[in-house]
Amino acid sequence: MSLSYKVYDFPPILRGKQLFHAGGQAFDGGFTSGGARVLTPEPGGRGILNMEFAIQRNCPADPIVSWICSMIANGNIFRIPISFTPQIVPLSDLGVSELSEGAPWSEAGMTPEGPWENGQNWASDVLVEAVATALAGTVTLVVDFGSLPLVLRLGHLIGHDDVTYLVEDIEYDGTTATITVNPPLRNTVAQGDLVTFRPKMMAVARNPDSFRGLYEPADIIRLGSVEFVEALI
Amino acid sequence: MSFYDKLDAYYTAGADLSDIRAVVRRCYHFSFKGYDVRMWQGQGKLHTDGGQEWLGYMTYDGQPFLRPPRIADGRDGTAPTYEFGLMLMDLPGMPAKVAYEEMKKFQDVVVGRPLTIYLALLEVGEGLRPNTPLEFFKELTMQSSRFEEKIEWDGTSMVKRYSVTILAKDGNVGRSAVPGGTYTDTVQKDRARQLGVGLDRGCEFVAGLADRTYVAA
Repeated sequence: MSLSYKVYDFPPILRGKQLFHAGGQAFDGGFTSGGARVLTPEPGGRGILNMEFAIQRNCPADPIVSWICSMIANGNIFRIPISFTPQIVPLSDLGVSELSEGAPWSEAGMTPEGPWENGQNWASDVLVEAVATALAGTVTLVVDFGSLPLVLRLGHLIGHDDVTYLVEDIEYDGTTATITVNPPLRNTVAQGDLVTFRPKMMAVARNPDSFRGLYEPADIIRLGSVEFVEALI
Repeated sequence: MSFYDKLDAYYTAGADLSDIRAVVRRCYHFSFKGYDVRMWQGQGKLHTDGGQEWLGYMTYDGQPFLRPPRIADGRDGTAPTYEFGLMLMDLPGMPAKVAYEEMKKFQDVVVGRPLTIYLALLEVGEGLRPNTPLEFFKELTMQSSRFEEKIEWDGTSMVKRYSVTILAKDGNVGRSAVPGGTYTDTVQKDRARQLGVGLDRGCEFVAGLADRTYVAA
């Protein structure tokens, strides 16, 4: 008997506010002689994603809202794309603004047009390559930007293997960037692995009750805010 | 640099105690038969040399999966009973339910197996892969276990929990036990007979040699 998790892709519900933070926790560390309180950062910690939702249509019934009201509970794991937020590097800064709408189906060479086209474009991604191995648990990552502009800065989010990391510090040497990430790398990044600017996060909702709390049988609804905590798999 | 060398380096004569630059946490290795559980006092996976992964036993809201007891100094010769409350968790290749059933069914999964405690020194900026090797702290022997499974409403969802209470003792255990036999000719011959050995003369001269004074030639 082996263990397998089912990971659900988070549906494209309109988000009003979203913040990823990876400050981790702190614990009381002592007092300085001046009496000021000192907090010592907890080693490790977890990534947390706070999300609030925009007003959206519910009626005629959009069953995805009903689906998520149930699925968000019971520790189900969601793969949540971190999008629509200033925390990720804009595509225009990366010089590929034509990808902002995603890659259209027609461009994929689908002739005749895809039999299962859903009207939405393909998700786009911009990737850089790791030039050195970074072991799981460490906090430093070295990537090569190649021909991309050096636009990654402190506070941006990057991703590897469905884990989202906050760029705590970055130092450029030519096109090579040494990035300090938080939380620590959950998986080993091998040389040649791709690091994405469109990260996804595996997370579990911490307070599904408050998400469901604002549900109404109305035409237009607004769902409650929810806090997602990084799932360590 | 070893654990204590590094601590010494931090606490030099001029150091201010409020300058906190390193964190020391405990790591617990439960060596159940066929089911190694490594846990550390924190969150997330701690990686050590040799490819070991230690699972953080604190959840994000501070709930522990492991309730370790306070460890006493063994120099007074006593062997206190330590109770470890351990909530079993799914591990690759060993889901919690299977581990729970195995432990209940076969007592050698727990009894007599070692439980080793280490100290980990985590420096600021080091992430979850400490450069300092783990320092040995205490070894206990697991003596017995108690079991409890329950379904709980944790406020947001129904959760099935498998918990095991591990009773462990340190190396002082058994010091006050009554000896299993005496070292005399009669008893030794009887013990040999019980084991199917015809004649064991190993203790024939023990009585005769007692209370003598021996000097070097």
